[in-house]
Order: sequence, then C-alpha cells, then structure tokens
Amino acid sequence: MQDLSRRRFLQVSAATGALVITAPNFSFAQDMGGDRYRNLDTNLGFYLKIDRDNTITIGYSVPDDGTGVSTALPMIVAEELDVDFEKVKVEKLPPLYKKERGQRGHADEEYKGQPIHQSTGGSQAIRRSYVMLRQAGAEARARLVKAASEMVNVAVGDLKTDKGYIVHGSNRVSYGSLVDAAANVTLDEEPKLKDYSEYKIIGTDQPQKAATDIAVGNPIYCMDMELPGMLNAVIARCPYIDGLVKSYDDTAALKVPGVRKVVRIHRIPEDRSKQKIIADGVAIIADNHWAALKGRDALDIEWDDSMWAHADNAWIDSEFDKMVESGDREVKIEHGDFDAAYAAADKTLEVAYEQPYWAHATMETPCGIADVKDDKITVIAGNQTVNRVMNDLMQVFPGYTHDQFDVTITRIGSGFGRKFIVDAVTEAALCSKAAGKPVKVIWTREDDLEQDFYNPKGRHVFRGGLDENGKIVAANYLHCSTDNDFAQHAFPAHHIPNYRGEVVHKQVLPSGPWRGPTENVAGYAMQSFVDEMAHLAGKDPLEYRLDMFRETGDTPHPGFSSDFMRADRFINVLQIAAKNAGWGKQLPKGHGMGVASFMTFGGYAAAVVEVKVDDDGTLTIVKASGACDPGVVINPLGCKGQIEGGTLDGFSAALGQKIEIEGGRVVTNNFDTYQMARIASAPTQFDAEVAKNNIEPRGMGEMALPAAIPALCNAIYDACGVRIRKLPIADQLEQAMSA
Amino acid sequence: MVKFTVNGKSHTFNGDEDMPLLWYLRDDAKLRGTKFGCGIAMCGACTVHIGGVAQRSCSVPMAAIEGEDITTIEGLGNEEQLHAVQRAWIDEDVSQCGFCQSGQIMAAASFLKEYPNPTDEDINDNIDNLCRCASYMRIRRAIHRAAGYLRGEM
Repeated sequence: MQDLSRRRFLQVSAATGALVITAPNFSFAQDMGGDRYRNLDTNLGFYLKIDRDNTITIGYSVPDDGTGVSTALPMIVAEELDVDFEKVKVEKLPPLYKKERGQRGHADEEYKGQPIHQSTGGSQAIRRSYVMLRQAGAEARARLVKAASEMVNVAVGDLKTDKGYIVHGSNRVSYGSLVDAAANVTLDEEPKLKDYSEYKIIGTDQPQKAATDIAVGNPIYCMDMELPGMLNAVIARCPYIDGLVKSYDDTAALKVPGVRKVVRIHRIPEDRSKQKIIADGVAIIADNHWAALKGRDALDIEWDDSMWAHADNAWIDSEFDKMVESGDREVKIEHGDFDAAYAAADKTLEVAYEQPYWAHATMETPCGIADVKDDKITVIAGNQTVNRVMNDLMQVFPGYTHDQFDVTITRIGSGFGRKFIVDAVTEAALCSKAAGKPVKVIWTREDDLEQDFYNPKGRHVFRGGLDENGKIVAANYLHCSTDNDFAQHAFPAHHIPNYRGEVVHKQVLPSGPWRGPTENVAGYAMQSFVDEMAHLAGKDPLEYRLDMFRETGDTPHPGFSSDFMRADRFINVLQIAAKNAGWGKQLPKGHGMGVASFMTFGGYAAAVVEVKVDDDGTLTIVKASGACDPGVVINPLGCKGQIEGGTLDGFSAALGQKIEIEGGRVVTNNFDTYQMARIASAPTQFDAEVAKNNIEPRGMGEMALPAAIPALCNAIYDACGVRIRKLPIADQLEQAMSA
Repeated sequence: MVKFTVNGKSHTFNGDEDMPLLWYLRDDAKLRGTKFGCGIAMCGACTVHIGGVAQRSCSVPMAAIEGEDITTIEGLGNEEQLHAVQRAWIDEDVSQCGFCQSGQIMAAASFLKEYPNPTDEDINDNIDNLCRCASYMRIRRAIHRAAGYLRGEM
C-alpha cells in the first residue's frame, strides 16, 4: 500500500481495523557520532490512528519532560488532519530503534527522508518534527478525502473536511467510517501542506493533555513504575570526584531485614582520566526502597579520595587566576585588531563575571528499572532519549542486539539535560543481572546533587573599549571554564569591529548539558558586559542594544539550529518586552529596570526585569516581562509557560544556587544547602509574550533563561548601583548596602 | 502494629516503624501520586494531609501515625470528581513536568482551609513547595482560582 515513492517514509495500514499512518525512525543518535551510537533500527511506529468509531489517536515520539511536547507535537498532526483537538487522544509512541547510522542533515534540510525524532533536549523536538508531522496528517486527510470521493463519486475538489468529518453540502461522513477504504486508495500526488494563514489548531492555546493525570496523581513517571517480582536498590557511590571504593564491609548491611544482596558497581569508564558515566560504588538490593536505604547506612566503606582531595571552589578560582595570567588559550573567533583598537579607545573597561557550578536537581531524581534476562533486556526509563538508553546498555551488555531490548520511556519528572545521561537505568541493569530479578534504582537527593553532571563553573574576563561616540570598538572576551564551552557567535561578537573571543578550560567536576548549555552563562556574562558599556557610554541600555542591531544587521551564527542571527527578530522581542515593562517610565524610589536579550538554538528572547532594592539590601523582583520569538508558535499557552518557567529558573539559579566543594566532594547535597527559589521569590507581575510570524519553528525550552539572568543583574544595578559580577547574588546586596 | 486510615480505608502496618509514611504509601499501599523529592522535608513533593493538615510524609515515621487519618492526592479527588484545587490546577494549565504538583495541590488544599481569601503575601508566607520547573506564576494564579471555586464563585 505504499504508493508514493517520494514519501516512502510514510506507511499506511488498516490491518487492525483502524487507519494507521506510520513512519520509520530518524534517530537523535545519528547526531551524537561515534561508534557508541550505531545500534539503531527501522521498526515502525504510528503517527496517528483513526478507529472506525472515529476515535482519533495521535502519537508523539518525543518524551515530555515538562516542555509540553506531548501536547504540541499532536497539535501539528491534528492541524493537517483537521480534527477536533479537544477530542483527540494522545499516546506516547513506542520507541523505535535503527540499525544503521544515517546521515546528519543540517538545519531545515535534515527532515528529508528521516522521519521520527525521539529525543527531548537542545530545544529540538518541535523543530525536527514540524514538517514530518504535518506530512503525516496531510497524508491521512488526503486519503480520507480520496476514499470519500470514490465512495460517493464526487470530485475530491468538491469535498471539505471539518473536525473529523468529510463534508459535502449538508452531508457529513466520519473519518472513522472511511478507514478501510482510505488505506487502499491511490494518491496521485503528494498532499499539499496548509499555508500558515490557514492554521486552525497551530497557534491556539491548548492545555496540556497530561494535566488531569498530573492533578489526580496518576502513576506516570519512571519512579512510579514496576515490573513483576521487582527488587529495589540504592547505591553508595563514591562521593569524591573520580574516587573509588577502596574496601567495604557488608556484614551489617546484609543483616538489615529485607536486604537481599550487596553488589559492587564499578566505575564506567574504567579510565579515570575520562568523565564518569557510572560512579564507583556498592549497591544494596532489597525488597523495598526503605530497606535498601537502611542497608546502605549500615555499609562500612573506605573510599579512595586521592585524585581531587585538593579541589574546592577557591582552588578552582586560583586555577582561573593562572589561566588569566598565562596567556595560554584557544582563540575561537577574531576579527579586526583588538589590541590596536583597545589601545586607541576613548574609554576602556576591564571586568570579570563569575558563576559557580549549578546542579540540575531534577524534581524526579534519576531513576531506572531494568530486567536483564539471558535473551532479553527490559527497561523502563525516564530519559530524554531512547537511543542513548539502548546504546549505552549495549556497551555495558555487549552480547545483546537491538531486537532483544524492550524499552519504555515514561513521562520525565524534569530533565534540563540531566536525563541524557543513562546512569540510573544502567545501574538498575547491572543490579538486575547480579540479582537475577528486575530491579529499580532510585537516587536520593543527596545522590543526585553529589553525582550530577554540573553546569560548568566559569569566569568571563572582558576588556572593552569605547570610541568618542560611545560605541564599542574593541572587546576581548576570555572565558575561563571547567568545560570547553564558548558562545563564540553570540551577540555582540559580530557587532564589535575589533573582537577576539578565547577560551581556556580545566575540567574538575563532571559536566553536562544544563538548560541552554553554554548560552545560559554566556547570556549572563555578555549581556552584563554590554550593559556596563552602555552605562560607561552614558547611553540608555535598551537603545544602545537596538542601535547595535540596527547598525550591524544580520550576523553569522553557524552551528546548532541556526546559520545566522537576525537583527529584526532581536529588535522585535526587545521592543515587545520593553513595551510590556513600560521601559523608560518614572519608577518609584529604590526601583530599577534592566534589559537583556539572547538567541538560544535559533530562538530569540528578550527580558526586562523590574526590581526593588531596599536600603538594607532586601531584593524584590517586582515584575518580569519576557518575549520570545521561536518562529511559528504551536501552542502559545505552553510557550508562555516556558517563558515564565525559564525566566524564574534563571532567577533561581542567579539568586541562590551554588555547588560547594570541600576536599574533592560536593557538600551542598540537599535542598537545605542547595538553595532553589520558591514561590515567594517569584514576581507578582509577569508578562509573557510570543512573537507572531511564519518562520519555521525552533524550540522554547531553553530560550528564556539566558536573557533572564542578566536582565535581573542589570535591573539591580539600575536600582541601587551595585553591579553583580559574581553569582549567586545571595547576600551581596545586603553586604554592599551596609558597607 | 500501627493502625490508621488512608483515604478513608483502614490500614495496619507491622513493619519497621522508622520507615517514613512516604515509602509506606508508595511501596506498600501502591499509592504513587505522593512523590519523593528530597527526604528531608525541604521540597514538599511528598505532601499529604494528616488529620486534614498538610505534612511532608518523607519525614513522618510510621510510628507517628497511629490513629491518624491520612489523605493522599488519590483521596483528594479523581478524574470524575475533581477537588476544587485540582480543577484550578487544570484550568490554569499549571503543570510542566508535573512531578511536584500533587504535593503542591495537597499543600494548597490545606492552606486554603486556613486562608479562604488568601493574599499573595499569605501564599508567600505559607507555601514553600519547590517546583523545579518554576511554574510559580501559575501556581499562584491557581491558588487564587481554587479559593474562588471553594467560595462557590465559579
């Protein structure tokens, strides 16, 4: 029944009594490169299913960690299919595996011939599904119309569709009554996709489909799942960076009622010069989680802490000092002649911004369930990508092929990049193998904050020069970091004629992607710097930025999800946020307003923040105005939620979050010491607005945060003259105001 | 032996009385709507009602619930008969990842009994459950909306 070679990726079937449109897999694994990611396959899953009773089910291929893709992706299919979205059921697609590595396409071309995207992260879910999902919906609709046309002998052009029905004059035929015929019609041409102006579902506010499940507490997360006969494990992992178990005594642990087995877990990889995936440790396998915890408390372990015993934040800072002094660094971008222009500048500023390690602290701690049998591995995971789950497990259990895996990916109790790492489920598989039974591993919060893959700690050193008109003519940006990350093309790299960007790094704690990797701290540093230069020039910080965009126009931005940065889109979001905030209005005493903008993964964000700083340094965030332009907005209600959440997440990181390290181990290991913002820190006023346009969409999950942090810092400066150059803000204002 | 009720049904427990109520609810009673978040009563993901008042079940040992009436999210309301706070949460489209929200809802339901007409300040002073997605703008709106529902205004 595959009649269209041009769209050979779409498969049609009515075998189960429903019209089912399916597609082979396109895997995120292809992006990751390397031999670790070669074991993926071309099974079939469904995009949508229409039953004879006209029940319409739309699948979503990407796990939802809170960004709303389980609502937004089905909306895209529903748009072309033309159904009543409120009545549509949505279901997570069973994961698909792929055997051969494919080719990686770039930007807008990558969907060609490579249908299903199955990973959440990098703000990619919408971007990489948008065209394919529309084609799936259009294919189904075209088939239904053709089937109806043949049945009633009316030209296709005389038939319309309306919310799940084919309409001809006053006659209405349900999609469901046409499923058998629709599977067997021959389409003469590729169905035409709707124009943006014809959209009826895309662009409308749709509440999250999972809202009721969540509100009534239905068990939908990995931590809520179980397999028959399952045991529970917790693991005592070496708390020292890259440390090992030196020796252990499990005599007392094995006497704890309910404890079944104690198993040594070895570090992966073995080579300690490489970042760990699995920490060295000892697993306690028990009848239930509580017994396992008690057993762990009873373990007597001696750790080898020798590798990083000298490491703490002050030591890392001293390493940054050496990096600044040594001059040994990698130049990532350079144009003009910085040294000459800086020397000739009318005014100069040398300044550094610092931020600590941040933890992901996902609300659902890492968790995994596995049942390793001789001929099959069954896995339940709340991970961001199914393919990495499969492939990482195949590395640890090399005897198994992809068709011996049964992987279920659940709703994710937040990810923020943390759940790309396939650690908890690998540990569960190792425990299952040892115990001969299914095992669930739950991480405690202490485990989570001690063993995270942290956002890097860094210092951003800027030297900037103004000409006599107050324009930035020279800047040098040196990023000293614990990771080799650098936002080399971010604004204002290409807006300054004599510019050099360079990076030097030394890894200490394990690092991994954290909401807006690299951009999250580049936004803070670069937008604080621009703000300081505007003040040095005596210019309005908003107009200063707008002028830079107007004068320079579009700039190159090769890389992830984008090729260039558009000035008009930046100007638009800045103006939206400024208008909603009332930029320029007279503010009460002690109030101040700050602005910032940033492009993350092809999406444009601006934030304006109003704060109040009392004489004693007490900070109140009065109002936040966030504007984003991700291109076509699928679900404005969900997008605004991401602006609100991303902005407040940024405030939370900036206000109080800091990983403390003592003697080579993380000591801020629960929410008593790792400070995350609560509702009292949230402003009482918030304007979230998404720009309207028909540009091919980008994601929303990571857009808002990189602009939010500097907008807050810039507002604090405007309110009280204290410039935040070190995060977290913590009690800096109290200290400064009492000085 | 500890005797108590959960969502109106009698329960008895004969195991380790040091075990927090959270793990009884999740592992023994199989009521998975109550979530683990921190284990030290700092995040509120595990919030249930004990005698009608919000408590953090990760830090309440089984020994402490003799004779108590426990209500979990599953007992607050269900799909067919939502509690006003659950309805407000859905109507405000609060949830992102959703993992903390059953605890948030339980905290709000208890809070609204004491503060039927809450101000923002009342909310700030009395609700400190962690939402890692920072859905606080909508949580605040949903609490106000739920207060209205409970007063019979909508």
